[in-house]
This record gives sequence, structure tokens and C-alpha cells, in this order.
Amino acid sequence: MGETQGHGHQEGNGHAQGSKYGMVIDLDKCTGCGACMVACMAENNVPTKPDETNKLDTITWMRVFKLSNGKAFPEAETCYLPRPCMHCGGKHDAGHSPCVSVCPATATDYSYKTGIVSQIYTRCFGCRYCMGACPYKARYFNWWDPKFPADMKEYLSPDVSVRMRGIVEKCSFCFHRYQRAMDRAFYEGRELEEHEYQTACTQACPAGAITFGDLNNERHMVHKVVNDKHEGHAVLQGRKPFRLLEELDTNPKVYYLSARDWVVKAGNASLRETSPADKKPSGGHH
Amino acid sequence: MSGPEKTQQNGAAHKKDDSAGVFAMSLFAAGISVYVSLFVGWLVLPELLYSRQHQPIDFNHAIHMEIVDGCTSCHVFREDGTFAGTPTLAQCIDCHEEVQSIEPEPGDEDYEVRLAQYLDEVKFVEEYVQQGKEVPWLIYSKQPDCVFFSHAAHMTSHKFKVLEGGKIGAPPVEFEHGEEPEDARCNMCHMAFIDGEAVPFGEAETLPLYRRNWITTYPIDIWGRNISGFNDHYYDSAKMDDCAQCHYDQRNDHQGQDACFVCHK
Repeated sequence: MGETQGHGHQEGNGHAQGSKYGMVIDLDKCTGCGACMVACMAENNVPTKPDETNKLDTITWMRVFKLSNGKAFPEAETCYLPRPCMHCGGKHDAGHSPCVSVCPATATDYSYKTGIVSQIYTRCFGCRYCMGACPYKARYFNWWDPKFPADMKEYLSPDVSVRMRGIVEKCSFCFHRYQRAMDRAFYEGRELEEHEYQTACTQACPAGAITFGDLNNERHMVHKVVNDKHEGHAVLQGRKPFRLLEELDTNPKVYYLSARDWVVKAGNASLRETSPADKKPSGGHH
Repeated sequence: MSGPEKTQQNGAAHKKDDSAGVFAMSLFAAGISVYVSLFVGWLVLPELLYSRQHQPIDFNHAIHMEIVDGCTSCHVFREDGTFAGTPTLAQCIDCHEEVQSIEPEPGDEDYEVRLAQYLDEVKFVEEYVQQGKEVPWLIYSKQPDCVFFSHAAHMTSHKFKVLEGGKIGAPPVEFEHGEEPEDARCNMCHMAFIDGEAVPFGEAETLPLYRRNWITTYPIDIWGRNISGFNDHYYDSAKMDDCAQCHYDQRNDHQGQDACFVCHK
């Protein structure tokens, strides 16, 4: 597998550079409909609970957050931010993702061929170090054995292994789709095309807010968007792609776009202005 | 020496003898325990750990291979290279709509073997073909749910090397260009273990005993028959380490391991 990926040269970290799958989410297009969340759950056999009112326990590989600029009408603004696993590459894409670094069981690893952070359910023993290490809270713990309503069992995907109680799970960038697509490309002796491997959330988004592909492949749209260059022209109209908590050097592969300054600042702690309430009073005590 | 003193010395000597005896007995008991534990752990428990099941029909691969052309005549691959699974009734029904073989007479050559084959065919026709029911074959190479295995990649990869006799560390077999028999690839992983001997499935006149681990529910062909896990051949077992070893051996660069998501899902 992975042999037809053509581009291979050595990077500074000593690993041959293969593909680097990533995502660009246009927050100005996202309407917060939640179709990506539903598609993700259906695609990846994510279980539901008999009582879903407690959302803290709900497993959502893709979760849409609601952000607000905190201002009163008429200046109030809302933004919806879909958050999958960021598939962090760590500094220089050396594979030192926060979760991979702390896993004592090698239940999660970084693929230098695809840039995807895996989660192997049968290897995980549920210590949850990775959950503590993940700054994006993209990992979820199975507190119970999965329960699927009777008829739903017939809809489970055979390509995705169903998890059990006591282990951690997270977004895999629908890696099973990559496996299927690569299988066919390999058999036909050709390279993988961009449209052949797309995540379920990307395809489900009615607003077309999500773009997915190989960040290292110049022909893929994600590469063009992140580098703001499509057929020699800038495509972002002044918008700059940003990533969540970039100051942590986690090197995520999920980029966001927004023309609104407050949204960009909300995603990046170092850019946030300190609110007056947080400011320490100057001067000494009398 | 007075009487009581002598008695005391004798008592001390007895105590010394007793403690030495107890020590020797303990050592002996410990030694026996180790032997018993090893015997139970390495010979008895592995036998108890696995079920002993016969296939619903004792299919004779050798006879069928005389008629068909290679494994993929019945173990079909789809147009996109994916494996279609165990052969179904549809593939058998053309020949076996009715019982084909003739009931042997006592005194015939190989009477018992031929009678068993005849009875198997009668059972197959009456219980499955005539009832339109698929045979519930027991799958020797059934992998756990978390495994992604691509037959397409293994059967078509030009990088895949068939090693002599499927032996670990053996040199690759040099085939004339395009002359590699497909069965050579199949036999790298799939062999029938009959009476302790590994036989290519295509040459087997009977099906191996199916043994399933009571705890894990995986067939013995996954862990292998050697309880220590050490193997001589690639087909001896199909654990994660075995797949990783073969992937490593097949690569010319011998650099690093594949990522987990290559074979897991």
C-alpha cells in the first residue's frame, strides 16, 4: 500500500515525505447545520447512548462549536466552527503529535506516508493520557459498550471496526476510504486521484465549506487554498488560513478561513486581546 | 559425657538432619512443580484451549484441482481485484446438481476412502444443493474485525516476492517474466496442516481439522501451532508480528515499519 504515491524526498526530520492529508474549513461558509457531524457518525459507526441529553458524554469525532463575538445587538455575530481531529504532525512534521508522544501502548501513531494519526482500538487500554494531551479535545472515551438500536446494526459499515468499552477513539480522516481507494488505484497501477479519497464530512457539507486533500500535492485544492495560489492567482481575497492554537507548535493539518478578525483571534490564544477584567491592577497596595 | 548431654547432641543432630531433609524435599517438590507446570502449560493447556471441529463437508481439493485451472478458478476475485470470499453453491451446482460419484463396493481399492468421499457428496447434494442452502464453511484464515487485508495488493504487487518454500529468510524464487503461477502466492500464506504436515491446499485430499480458540474465538491458524510463537515459514501463523515481519522482509530498503493504519481499520 502507498507505493503508487509518487512524491518522495527526504525532509529535515529524516523521513521520506509522502502525502500529507489535510483539510481547509471555510468558517464564513459554515452554517452550523451539523450535517458533517451526522455524516461522520454514520460513516464511522459512532455509537449513540439511550439518553443523549448529557452532551458531555457524547462521542463526536467531528463537533461543531458555536462562537460568539460577545457583543450586543446590532454588533452581535456568531460563527460555527467544526472541529475534527487535527492530525498534528508536531514540530517539522516529525510525528511528535501530543497524543502520539504520550501513548504508552503505541495505540496511536503518526504515518509519514499520509500524515494521518491513527487510533488502533484493539491496542488501546484506556489510560486516557492522549485525551489529556490533546489540546483540541478531539479524543473521546467509551464509558460504555456501544449500543446500537436493533435496525441500526444492519447499517454498520464493515470497513470501520466497532469500538468497545474502555478505549479511546477519534476522527481518522475516514482512513478506511483511503484504504479502499488506494486498493483500487494500486490494482489499476495508477496514482490516487483527489476525488477518490474524500472524508464523509467533506462530502456531506451542503455549503461546501470543507475542502480535503493532500497538502503536499500541488494539484489538490487544499494545497492551492493553503498557499493562496490557484492558476497563478490568489483565491482567498485577503483571508489568511489559520490553525487552532498555532502557538503550541502542534502543527495541525486542519486550516480555517475567515474574513472576520475576531474569529481568527478566537482560534489563536496568542492573538487574543486580554480583556480588561483579566488585567492586573497596576500600582501597589496602600 | 553425661546421659542428658548426649541426648541433647543427638537431638541437635536429628534436627539438622531433619532440616536438610525438608530442604531436599522442598527442592524436589519445587522441581516437580516446575516440570508439571511446564508440561501443563506447554502441552496440555494449548490442546484444551482450542476446539476440534470438522468442516460440514470434507472437500477434496486435490480431485478438483485436476479439473480446474488454479486456485482462482473457484476462489474468485472481482473485477476490481477484491476477493469475493468463500466459493458459493453457484460455483458447485453446475457439476453437483446430482450425485456424480458411484457408490463403491466392499473389496474395491481404497474402499473406505472412496466411501467417505461418496457419502460426503451425497450429504452435500441432499443437505445443501437440493435445499438451496450455502455450506457454513469454517474459515481458517479469518482475521479479527480490526484488520484490513487487501488481497488485491498482495496478489498483484510486482514487489511481492515468493520465497522458496515459503520459508522465512529463504531466497526469492526466480520466475520467468509473467510465468509466476498464482498459486505460488496463495501458498505463501495458505497451507493445509494435516497430521502435523503443511500441505498446499491444492494437493490436500481432505480438509484440516478446524480449531478455534475458546477465549479469543480466533482459529489456530492465526496464532499458529507452535505455542511459543516462533515460526520457520510465513504460513505457520498470521499474527500481527508475522504480517509486520513479512512486510519488512519484502521491502528492499529494510527501513522502519509501516504505520498502524496500513493494516488496521
